[in-house]
Amino acid sequence: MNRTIRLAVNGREHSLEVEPRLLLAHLLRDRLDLTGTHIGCETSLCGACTVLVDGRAVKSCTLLAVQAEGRQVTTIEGLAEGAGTEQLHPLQEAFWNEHGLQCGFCTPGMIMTAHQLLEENPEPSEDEIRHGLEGNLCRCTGYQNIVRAVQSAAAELRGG
Amino acid sequence: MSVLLPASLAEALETLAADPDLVPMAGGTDLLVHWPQHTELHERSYLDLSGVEELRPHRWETDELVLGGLTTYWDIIEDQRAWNELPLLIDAARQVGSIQIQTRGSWAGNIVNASPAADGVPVLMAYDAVVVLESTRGRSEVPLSGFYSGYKEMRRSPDELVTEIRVPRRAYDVQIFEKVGQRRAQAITKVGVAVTRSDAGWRVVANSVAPFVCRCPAVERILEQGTEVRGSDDLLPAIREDVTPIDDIRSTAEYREKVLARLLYHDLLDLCPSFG
Amino acid sequence: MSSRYFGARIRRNEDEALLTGRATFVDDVQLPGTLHAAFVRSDLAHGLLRGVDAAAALERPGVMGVFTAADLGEYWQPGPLLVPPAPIEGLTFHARTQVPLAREKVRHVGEPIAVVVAESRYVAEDAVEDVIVDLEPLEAVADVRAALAEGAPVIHEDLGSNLAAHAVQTKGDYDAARATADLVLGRDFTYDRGVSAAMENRGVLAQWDERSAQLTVWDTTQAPIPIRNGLASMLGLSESQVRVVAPFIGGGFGPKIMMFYPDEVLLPWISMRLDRPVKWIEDRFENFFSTTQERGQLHEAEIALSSDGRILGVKDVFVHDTGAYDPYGLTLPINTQCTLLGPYDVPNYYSEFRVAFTNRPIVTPIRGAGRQQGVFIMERLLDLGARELGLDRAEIRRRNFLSPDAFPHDHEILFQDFAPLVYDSGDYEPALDKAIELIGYEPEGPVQSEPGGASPAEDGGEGTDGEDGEGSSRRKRLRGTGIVSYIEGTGIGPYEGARVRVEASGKVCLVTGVGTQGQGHFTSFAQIVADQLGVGVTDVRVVTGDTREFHWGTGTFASRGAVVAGNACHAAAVAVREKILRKASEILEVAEEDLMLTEGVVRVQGVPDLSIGLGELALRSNPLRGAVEPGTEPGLEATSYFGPRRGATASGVHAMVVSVDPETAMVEIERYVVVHDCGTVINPLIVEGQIHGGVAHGIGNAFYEELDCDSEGQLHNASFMDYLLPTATDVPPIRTAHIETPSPLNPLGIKGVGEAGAIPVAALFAQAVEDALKEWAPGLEVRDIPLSPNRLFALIEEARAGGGEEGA
Repeated sequence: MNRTIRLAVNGREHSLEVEPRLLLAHLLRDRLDLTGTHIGCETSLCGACTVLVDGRAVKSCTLLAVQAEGRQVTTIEGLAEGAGTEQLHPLQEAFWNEHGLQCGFCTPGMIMTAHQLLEENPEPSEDEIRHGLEGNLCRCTGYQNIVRAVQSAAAELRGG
Repeated sequence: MSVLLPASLAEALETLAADPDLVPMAGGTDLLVHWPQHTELHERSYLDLSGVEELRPHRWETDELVLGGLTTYWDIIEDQRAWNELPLLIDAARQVGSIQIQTRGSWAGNIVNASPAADGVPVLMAYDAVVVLESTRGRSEVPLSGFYSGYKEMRRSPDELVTEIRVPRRAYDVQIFEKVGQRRAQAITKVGVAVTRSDAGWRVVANSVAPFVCRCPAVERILEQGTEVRGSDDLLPAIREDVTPIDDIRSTAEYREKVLARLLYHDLLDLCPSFG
Repeated sequence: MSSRYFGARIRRNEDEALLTGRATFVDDVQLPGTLHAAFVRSDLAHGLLRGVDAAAALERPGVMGVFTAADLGEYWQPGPLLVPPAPIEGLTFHARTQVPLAREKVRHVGEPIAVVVAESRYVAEDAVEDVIVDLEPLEAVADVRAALAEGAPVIHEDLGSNLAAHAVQTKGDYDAARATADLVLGRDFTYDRGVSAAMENRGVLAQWDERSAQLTVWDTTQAPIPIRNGLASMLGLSESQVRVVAPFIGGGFGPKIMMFYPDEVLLPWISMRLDRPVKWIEDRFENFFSTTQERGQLHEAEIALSSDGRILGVKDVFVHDTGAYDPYGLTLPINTQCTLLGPYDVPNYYSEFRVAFTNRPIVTPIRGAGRQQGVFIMERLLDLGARELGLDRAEIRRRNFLSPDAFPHDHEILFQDFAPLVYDSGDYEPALDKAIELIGYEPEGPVQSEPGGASPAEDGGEGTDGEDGEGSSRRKRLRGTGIVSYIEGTGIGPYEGARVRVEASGKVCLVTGVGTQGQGHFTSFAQIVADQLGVGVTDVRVVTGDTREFHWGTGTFASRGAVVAGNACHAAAVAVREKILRKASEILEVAEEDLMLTEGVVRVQGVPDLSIGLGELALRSNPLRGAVEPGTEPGLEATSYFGPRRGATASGVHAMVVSVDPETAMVEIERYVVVHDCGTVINPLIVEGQIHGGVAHGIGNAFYEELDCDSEGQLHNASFMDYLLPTATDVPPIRTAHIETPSPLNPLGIKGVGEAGAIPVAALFAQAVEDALKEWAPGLEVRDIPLSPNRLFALIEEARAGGGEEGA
């Protein structure tokens, strides 16, 4: 029994007919072609699929698309919006400068979680950053440069 | 599969009364794990409560904190009063999964999912929380410490929803929550313990050491009576009376029993004159 | 030649696409009309396949086909033997490679039996449940020791036993050395399996285009060219009809090598059959069965020492678990055998291994590839030796290091590349000294404080520490230090190639055949080329992993990408530079020696007005009229290949400080230091990133990551819920320092670094934990990896029950 849902993704309104069992992650990737949201474990443990729903970081592999009815969703593709065209969000810029990514598969989720972390705590300690990112697994970087990137973005966001 | 999306509590309760086989769902953080593979779960019907806004807020009354049926861990983490007054709620909330789970997962969901390793339940129990259940038949209240009767068995009828969790506001001079997992973060508890002391007395609650999260009355008696405890091993007989740990892939019964004793012993050493 | 980029710490060219979600991974390729595949897999580790009934599945709406081994006809063939065995004298080796779909029997849980193709993945998964498989259970053998025991169930019946290989390599005369030794110490060690856990699971999308008779395969592979060659041959197509694309790959770590996994072989065939694109994306649960694993070995090892701590000889007899098949030959046990020798002078060595088939998923290299195990054995033996002789742990290593004038050093045995194990260059003592300095190691004592007094000293040894961050506990924290050394054979042949072309825009296109999975090749290769051609590093567009762009090559594995492909890029760039200068010299009528190449322009020294841009030069090298001189080629382009004679030997010293809660067996790594030598460094940012990631992987292997497999071959923790990858809170900050001994085996002097970080971590962890617990749990020895909190707890309890009255 399909149903129609309405939601806004990266500021654009969508009305879509979906199967109730469809996960938000699959809706974003397969229906809206927003493939920057990655799926790494289907068990809400790796965090690669993290997006913002009404401004809060959630794992889109454990959220049904129908549960996003009426919500505002932000994905990595929409993060820089508001920062102006052609510009990266300070978090994206900081991950680039600090070599906070290698294969880049976990990166979108990592950045979306860091986004929420900094919204909540604009001046986190290293320990707070590490704890804040504990729901996002990375196999490439050993996290060190990710932590640095979040520190650097935090400084940039506070300054600017 | 179908997902019903009631817009009000009344509608949710009526829907559930009409079809008690519906699976109520709040954040979905437990129900939807491994979803694409668990196709058998796709056959069921779900009552998604995320549109029932009246269940979302929590409120501070004169003598209690009332959590709504949809109040999330993150809602409490964001509440400075909780940090000041009921800090174990914060400690526990921050142990649940990760930020992304804390934003979706609800306290009520943690209670009805009934995992023996639940992180939210021990602190609620140590604070003497009361579960408020509602159905079209009416409203009932059950102390959380008496809510479970076996593994995943609880005093909730299929037509009932947890609409509130009432947490008394008391003055505590001891508030401790400790969790040992396989690693520091995002790990299922191998053994955990919450301890409080107020005018109401000692509360000692353990998780991952029995079929459900439970109080430890024998240990509480030792504390109330000031029985001498000279080392962590002295707590083992009471612990064995209170809990029944098992071997599983995460740990062993021996580990659970001994580490529970050690956590309690070291945590209480400075607080209890009878500990030495 | 200016060297603006080589060696510079610059951010990566490839990152913008990855940071904005635009980078295309295999699962991001969406083609109209795509069908989705799901596999029916064995739920038994060992069984006879009596039949498969797909009738119900075929009736489900949306199902387009169900294929079993019988449907494959002639196409059903065991996969290729990827690495033939090295020519070791007296070697026994039986190749039994994986099959596309099980035919008569299944040999491990998760082995594919049938593949279902449907309009959506959900429907395909539903239909998998409809397929009825008739499996007759056979007794399974999951343990490697049991597999070789008399009367064990035989996995490949025609062999009569589960012995896949047996080899002995020796140097000198161990028995004679033993007879003269002052001290001989022997122990048994276990190193268990783990998974690679790339964050991106594997996936394949195959598209057969009937009209152009072209097959395109997007594949999460580290080696697209061998896959292309193999598929063309299996499918009876010309290599020019098959294009394999490895786009952005979300981590490789070994198992994404040219395995010819069932899915890689089946999807192209199905796409040709159904004339539709077909996609399969592995899910995480499947990954625990359908992607290869590594590290299971049991060792019985012995060291013969003189009273002053010199190694007289080492004997190591081990069993290596290859799982149900052995497509990767003997690379792993040979790596173990060779890497065990480490940076040490070992005059006498006896190493014997057996390889056993077991009813478990297939074993092939994962980051480190057998080297971890060798390092673990040697370092543990040295730790035991130091303890017995009352020597400092760093000192016993120092006494046995090969001296800087010992290179090239021939170990007189064969390495995985079939070449003699000869170290090209190295200087080990400075690395040890540096690591001692950075970690603040004091001979035979626990670390007291951050070097330089940066933070206040806490109680060493048996202090209590109220700030473990996890509650108000007054529990003990015992601190320990570890320091270990290792070498790594890297950058083996046979060869890689690269093509460099200056385009009419003045920008440079660089193409190579290797795949890339996050190592930064888009940047490090561009750095090499940019310096030669005097262009900006962002003006070099690097193409990797697309067989249509480059025909020849092997792949990214064995820490070889930068060494082998990097030097090919260098050679091609040098050749293009020569062409540029020759052409410019003609046009500008100036001697080549008077030309310089900077900022995309060829200039004449001392004559500022006389110059020509690279774009202009490229245009004029590709004229539309007139003739190209005989013996010359159009364009500013060159293709070059590089093949080293043998591998380059990287090395390093790692050190760490741990604190152990002896009552819960929880361990925290407080500090970590890596001093390493990977020859000349192209980009320190990238090299350090590789090391950080390797160390994190090593920490997982050492402590957290454990496959819980029972004797029936059933895995009980196939998810990240209970197979614990290190998180940001488990990996400490890592300090790195570089020592450079350039490799004489390649013009750039590079040694590989991709695996280095992961290799010595278990050995280090074991030593540091023992150090922390030496008084609390006297006699505790760590001989099994992963150690795991539960195993450590048991070791502590056991040591205290049997040992001293220390504590409380």
